[in-house]
Amino acid sequence: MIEYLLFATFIGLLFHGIHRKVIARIQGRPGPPIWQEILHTLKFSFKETWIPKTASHALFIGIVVVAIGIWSAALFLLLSGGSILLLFAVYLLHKIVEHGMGLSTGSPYTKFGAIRSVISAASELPLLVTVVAIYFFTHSLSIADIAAYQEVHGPLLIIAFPAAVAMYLVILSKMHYGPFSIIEAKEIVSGNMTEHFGVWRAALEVAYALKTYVLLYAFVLIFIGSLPLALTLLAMLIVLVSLSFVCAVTPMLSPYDTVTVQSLVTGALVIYIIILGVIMG
Amino acid sequence: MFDLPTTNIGGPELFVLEFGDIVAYFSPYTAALFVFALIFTVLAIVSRPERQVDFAFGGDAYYTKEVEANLLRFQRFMAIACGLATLGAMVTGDVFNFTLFASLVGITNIGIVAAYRNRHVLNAAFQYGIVVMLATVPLFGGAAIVLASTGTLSMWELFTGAVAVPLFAKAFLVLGVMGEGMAPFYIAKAEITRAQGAPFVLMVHVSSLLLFLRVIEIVLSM
Amino acid sequence: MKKQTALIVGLAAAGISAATGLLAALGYLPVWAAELVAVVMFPAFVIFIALWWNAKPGEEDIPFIGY
Repeated sequence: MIEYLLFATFIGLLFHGIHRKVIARIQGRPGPPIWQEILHTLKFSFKETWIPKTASHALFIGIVVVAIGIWSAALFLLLSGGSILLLFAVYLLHKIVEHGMGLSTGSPYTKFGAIRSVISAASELPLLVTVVAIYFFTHSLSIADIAAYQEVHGPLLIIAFPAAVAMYLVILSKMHYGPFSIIEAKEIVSGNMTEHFGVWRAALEVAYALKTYVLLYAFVLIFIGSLPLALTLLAMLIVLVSLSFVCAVTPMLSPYDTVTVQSLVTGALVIYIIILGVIMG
Repeated sequence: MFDLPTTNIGGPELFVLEFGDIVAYFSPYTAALFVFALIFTVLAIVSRPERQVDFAFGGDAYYTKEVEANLLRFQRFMAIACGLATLGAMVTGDVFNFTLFASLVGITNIGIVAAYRNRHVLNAAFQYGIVVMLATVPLFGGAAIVLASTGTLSMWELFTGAVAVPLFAKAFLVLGVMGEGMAPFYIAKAEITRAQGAPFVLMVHVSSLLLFLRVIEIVLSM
Repeated sequence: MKKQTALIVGLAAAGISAATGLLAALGYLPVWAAELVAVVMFPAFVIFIALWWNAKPGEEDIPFIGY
């Protein structure tokens, strides 16, 4: 079982590296090599590690463990064809992780990050709307059933395009250097991750790598269908590069604009669902 | 007799505890939520609060706030109560019990920060309290409509295809739980998190997110 | 915590996870149980192995809590 997690971590870190490389090339910079994030994680794991004196020790460490745990669970959920409602739950729990990570240290920078993570709670609603929209078509929330539905009716990417857009926005709002990544903005140092250094940061990088892998994998699985591994990875890479383009050309939004954009998308999708409900009964 | 037809939503039931037609149960979904609530309740029990660092404006000075023992005890008590209410809401198989646990979560959320003497935090808690109180009207109203239109509050009965729950009641239930602290009613919570005591303040957030996840499952299953 | 302890815990976590994965593959254990064990063990594995290799060889405590 652990081999799946190690594979996903490795690919996720590689995806982070590719993400940085693509952004750099679009902006006319040479950029780091694509394995930079793997080196980065190893580097952090070799750095001297301690716990800040002002931090709440148990929460400071516990939140890192929870971060890796929930995304590992989400990966197995996808592999075993579980319910996307649970995937939505993991996504919401990640919000708690971000929030708890920021609050646990006592530093004002991490606290700013934590509070920004609370106000950007609107980013969860598009995913919920996606879940409901998919339920309208497939009448099931299990990933296995969704894959079966797509084999008969064609990919949901075409059938339920607005839902795919909402899920795309959800992934975008969790990408590094993206327009919505206000919780780790540089004006508040590294946001909620500021005080997690050394081993803790390396472990968080592992959790984030799993998160990127899981979200991209979920997008491919839910909207395109179950493909062979190589094709799945290729589809994930294409989605990732398109996300990198968006990240490269958009500036970071202000916290309130972030909430506005996400709420507007949610509102548009609610209208879409109501229309669906009227047409399809 | 009891064969919960929710394999599509929460998964098959893993454990049931019957009280007449009211059945507390675990499905993989609610079990996962239960475990998560348990983790954070345990964290609130075992961890000490952080000491917040404040900058003094206009200089390089910064100072660390001290933790008051009395405040710590009260916050921890309220956080554990909030955790227990959340755990209850995760396992219950009764719509009215769920709404009761939801309103208990709202009360304890205010309790967690109520002892903290900071004008901004208390203001935010007051505003949050008003939103929660308003939200209890649709919350209990939703449960009442469910009872009036179907004659039962047991999810075990409501989840069967034979019972049709009006859309209105479902919308009321979701609205009520959203008032407990989901977007877009969470505005006051951003200021609440100024309060000291990260493991306890975090419970404010954990409880409302988990409640929301549970109500989505209930509403989709009904 | 000493350097040796971190290594033992990290390797034990990996070992338990690999063993349950193997048992599940052979059919002695349901797959979901092996997955559950992996979810619990993987964070421990990551954190303790990293703590082990960044610890100094001396008698200091890890993670270093300060003076």
